[in-house]
Amino acid sequence: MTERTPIRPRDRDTIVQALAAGVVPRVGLQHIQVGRMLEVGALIKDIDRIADGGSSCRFVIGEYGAGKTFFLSLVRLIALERRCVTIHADLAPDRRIHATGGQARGLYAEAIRNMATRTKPDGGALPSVVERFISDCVKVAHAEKRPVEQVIDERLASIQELVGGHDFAHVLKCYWQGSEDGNEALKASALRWLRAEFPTKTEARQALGVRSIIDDADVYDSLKLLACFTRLAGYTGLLVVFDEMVNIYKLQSSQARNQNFEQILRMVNDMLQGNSEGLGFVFGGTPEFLMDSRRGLYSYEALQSRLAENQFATPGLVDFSGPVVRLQNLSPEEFLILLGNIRAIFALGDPANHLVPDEALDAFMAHCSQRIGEAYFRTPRNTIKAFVQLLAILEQNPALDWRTLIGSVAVDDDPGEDVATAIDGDDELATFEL
Amino acid sequence: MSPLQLTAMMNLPRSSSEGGSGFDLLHPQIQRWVRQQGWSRLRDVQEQAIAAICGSDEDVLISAATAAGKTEAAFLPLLGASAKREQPGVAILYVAPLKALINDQFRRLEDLCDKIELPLVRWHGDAPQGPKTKVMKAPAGVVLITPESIEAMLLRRPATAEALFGALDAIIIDELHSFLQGPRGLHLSSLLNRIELLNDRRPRRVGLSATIGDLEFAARWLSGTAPKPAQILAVAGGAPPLKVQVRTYVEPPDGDPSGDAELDDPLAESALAKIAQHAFEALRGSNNLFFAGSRANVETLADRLRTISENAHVPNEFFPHHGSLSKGLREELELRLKDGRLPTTAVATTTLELGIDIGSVVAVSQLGAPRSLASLRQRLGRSGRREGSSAIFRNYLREPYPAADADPLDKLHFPVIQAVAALNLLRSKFVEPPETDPALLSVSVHQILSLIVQLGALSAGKLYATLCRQGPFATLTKTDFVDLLRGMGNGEVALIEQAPDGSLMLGPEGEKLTASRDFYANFSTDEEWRLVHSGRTLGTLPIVNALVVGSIIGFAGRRWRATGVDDKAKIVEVVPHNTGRVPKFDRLGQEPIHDRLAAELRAVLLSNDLPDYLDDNAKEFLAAGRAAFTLLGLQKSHFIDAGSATHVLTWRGTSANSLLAVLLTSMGFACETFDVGITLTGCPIDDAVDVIASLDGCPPIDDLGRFVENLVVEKYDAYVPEDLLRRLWVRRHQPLRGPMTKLIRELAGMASD
Repeated sequence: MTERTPIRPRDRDTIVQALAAGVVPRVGLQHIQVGRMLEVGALIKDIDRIADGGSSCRFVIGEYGAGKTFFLSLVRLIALERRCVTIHADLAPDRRIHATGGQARGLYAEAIRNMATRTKPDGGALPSVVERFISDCVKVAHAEKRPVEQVIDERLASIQELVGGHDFAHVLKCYWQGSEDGNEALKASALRWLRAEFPTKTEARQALGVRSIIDDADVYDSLKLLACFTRLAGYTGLLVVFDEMVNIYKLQSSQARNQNFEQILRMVNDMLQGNSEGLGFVFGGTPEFLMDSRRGLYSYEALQSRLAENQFATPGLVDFSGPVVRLQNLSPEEFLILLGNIRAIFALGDPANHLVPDEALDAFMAHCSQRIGEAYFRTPRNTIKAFVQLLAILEQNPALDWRTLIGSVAVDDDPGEDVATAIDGDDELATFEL
Repeated sequence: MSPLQLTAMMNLPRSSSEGGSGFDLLHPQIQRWVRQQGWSRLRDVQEQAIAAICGSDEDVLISAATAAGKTEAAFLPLLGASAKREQPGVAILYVAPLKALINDQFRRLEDLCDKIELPLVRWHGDAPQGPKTKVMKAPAGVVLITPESIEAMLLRRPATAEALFGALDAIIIDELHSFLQGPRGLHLSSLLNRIELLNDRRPRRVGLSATIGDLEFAARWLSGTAPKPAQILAVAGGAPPLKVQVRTYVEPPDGDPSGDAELDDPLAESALAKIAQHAFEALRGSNNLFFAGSRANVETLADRLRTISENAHVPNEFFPHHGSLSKGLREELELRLKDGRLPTTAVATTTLELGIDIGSVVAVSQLGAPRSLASLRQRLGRSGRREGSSAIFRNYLREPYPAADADPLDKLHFPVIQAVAALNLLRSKFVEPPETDPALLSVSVHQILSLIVQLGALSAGKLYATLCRQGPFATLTKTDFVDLLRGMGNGEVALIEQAPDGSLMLGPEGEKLTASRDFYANFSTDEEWRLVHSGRTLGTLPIVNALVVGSIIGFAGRRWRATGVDDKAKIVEVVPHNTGRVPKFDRLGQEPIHDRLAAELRAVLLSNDLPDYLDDNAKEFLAAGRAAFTLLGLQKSHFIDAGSATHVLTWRGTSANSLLAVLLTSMGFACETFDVGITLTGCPIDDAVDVIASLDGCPPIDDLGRFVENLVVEKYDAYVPEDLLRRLWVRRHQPLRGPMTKLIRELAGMASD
């Protein structure tokens, strides 16, 4: 997707800042994205299937810093373009798929908060989705001269058949009631309920008159309800993206891990059998999350058989028919293009403003190869960061020559999130290996 | 308490009565409570505590006798300070080693907390759930808790721990002296650290302790990472009276040569039988504890007491308690004691003095002279807790029949000498000073596992920084820590494993251990060793000395030589070591003896004092022992001629004798340790003197450490690489090298430098 749409100066700063910090920018992904055509293609097919009323389930597996999060952001963007609703959340020690202590509800709540539509790609789209549904019903009611509530009930009939659908529908009607009466508090409560932010049933009953809340055990059912609802609201489907699945691998209790795997199995089964309409899952994780025989998905036998990769697929012969998508490493050529893209961003797309010539790109790659070995292009995050910083210096000091700077570029080894270990220098603990 | 309020109070004119101004510094509601108690004035310790606690934000250590009002001393000012607090979260965390103690304190503080409207919650395994649920919903007030319950919370519900204890004003630690040594104390030290890490602002600490030896050490232990050690308030006097009796019983002339327990020969009237008879009469009808040293003794004694009860047609009140008994049996006994409805006497090894909770008893009895002052105090602390009652201690000693051809050591009558020595030291308030704890590695293993569960997968660096930032764990070097982690991550041990990003997580064995309910506690065990000869088990016994191949062990009236040691299974393979006459006195014990106690034994033998708590037998033996001492010329000499063997009296404690024995054994001499020295078996006195003279001081401890076989002692030591256990053994014994050289010179008759 290398459309050369012009880059807005405002976006440029956002992108540059994000890359310099080593995170995925909110906007402008199309300006950076390189390669991985086949992977993207496979996911596009999934999204089309969802938009058509089918279902899908994918595991996107890549090393830490290999561009997984970037890839997932890109996939979400595409889904939005196809008029899907997307929700996404990162797993964390206190956010997981199955739990009894509120951690699943936490994941769900976070995901709903990040709900996005094409007009609201940055998140917080739940109110607009609900509004859209309601105003649609109101329009129809007015046109057919029927009470709005009747139209709503009619529309929600299919939802009411699903588990938890009754209360879900009731809450939506509360929202409509609130907007009818100008009762902002009621509307806010309805949205709270939908976001699984009510901690107790009592509070929910007092606010909305429903007897249940969305709690740990209801997460999957609520996702199915939501998928159904988005289609009723006029969207094509719901894409759910859960990243940092490695947190399940890191759970310290095998019982907890297995319960999560069982839930994932249920999702995989339902999606692959097409039991749900307009719902798709994408899970992002590291290879150990997938393959570790004691802690990973493969440790759960039923999952291993379903996710086992094509035995004929070797590096070079890729197969995207199975649920597991391995993010292939960028090739050096692709990496060169990536550096060129970054250079273009700095120059706002105008080759005349390039800060460094082409040979600088080659020199940079040679330098990295020397510094951290040929693996540098496998984990782009830190190399990009270093390059962005190089360009930033050059931008602010026009008199400097890039040749002198390249030699002093340092690329960090990727330490992961836990950088805050203030241990001094040559520490056997810092590089400790069992 | 806002600084403004304090200033206002300080400006009030001081009362002219000699009652001091402490009262004025208290919160008005608390003042009301004090008046309602009918107290005419505050006690000394309370005055001092109020001044110290209100006067600064620093840690305070309050040392005073039991029932001197320590609890109020800490709570009166602290409760007042927290009364106006608006921040959510528990204000004061009170930690005590026993549930019974917590229940007692709860009763005392209920009214007081009610007055200032602070919730008061007991938090332990037996506490009611209702108040716990309430305080979890609305964290506030005071929580009374045990270390094990803190561990359980950090493990299973870290979010609750943070919500409750994330904004504490103060932490009170009661019975602080019981935490200064041993695995439980190390555990608490780490727990306090972990709680502190949940807080933005370090909560101040107040320690309550009995009157013990090294207060400076206690103050430093209390303060952990604080820049200054705690302020010490040592308040004298007020100790409850202690009633002591020492009774000596003589074995029959041709009784069991071991002097050990034998089962049911009704005619033999062994010393143990006579002791059982006396105990039956003295202890029936009330709750008591009887510490009998070894499991074999416990079994025989309990059995004898049961038989006596049956023959007297009365219900049995005497029950055994030791590590080999099933958990069900032990818990049954503990519950019965706690219940208090039926009179019960527990006959135990050592387990009942540590943490296992049974409330207070009327009297404490012990078979065999006391070996450790810390232990003795701990045990005595169980009786006489009620206001006005005294602590009662009965020491039952056994002496072999005084035959003319008895081994000279038996003629010194150590049992009664040791009893007197221990009681002398008790009176002088001596307690063994804490040293680098052998349980350090075991508790580190435990805490590493616990931290991984609490905080999730974390890097080696972060683990080290969290655990070893303070206190006793800071003595672990990074190399030690790395070796420990490697050992834990070893494929066979499987306690931890590593994720590709380097963070450490639980391995399969680690998950199993942490999931179990036994995981919360770090008590010392009363493990005994099994002696095996030609495949036959001879029996079990506690061993406190260092074991090397070639160690001589006395058991069942004979000497045995160790040919193989299985540390993890606790088995010593032995062959008989025949060396003629064997001393008959009972040298089995769970605790090592300190140098000071050993020196006091000598002092008792040299003195003429005849304490009146000794019964007639005991007095006789004391006199006889002193006579033998003079006769053997032991004021000047260290050697005793025992025919084919020689006793070398070092008048030092277990570690020194142990070390000397390791040295001599490694040089090929057969030697056995006893409490105040070693015996060179198969070595007549002239040779023995030569042997000692030939020693050139003490070799490097490193060299000696190579021979030591019994390194696995504490609960999780089996998971620590042997190398590391040995390294820390050497480090602990390093300071002994100089004194050992000095001792050797002394023994060799050279002038000490």
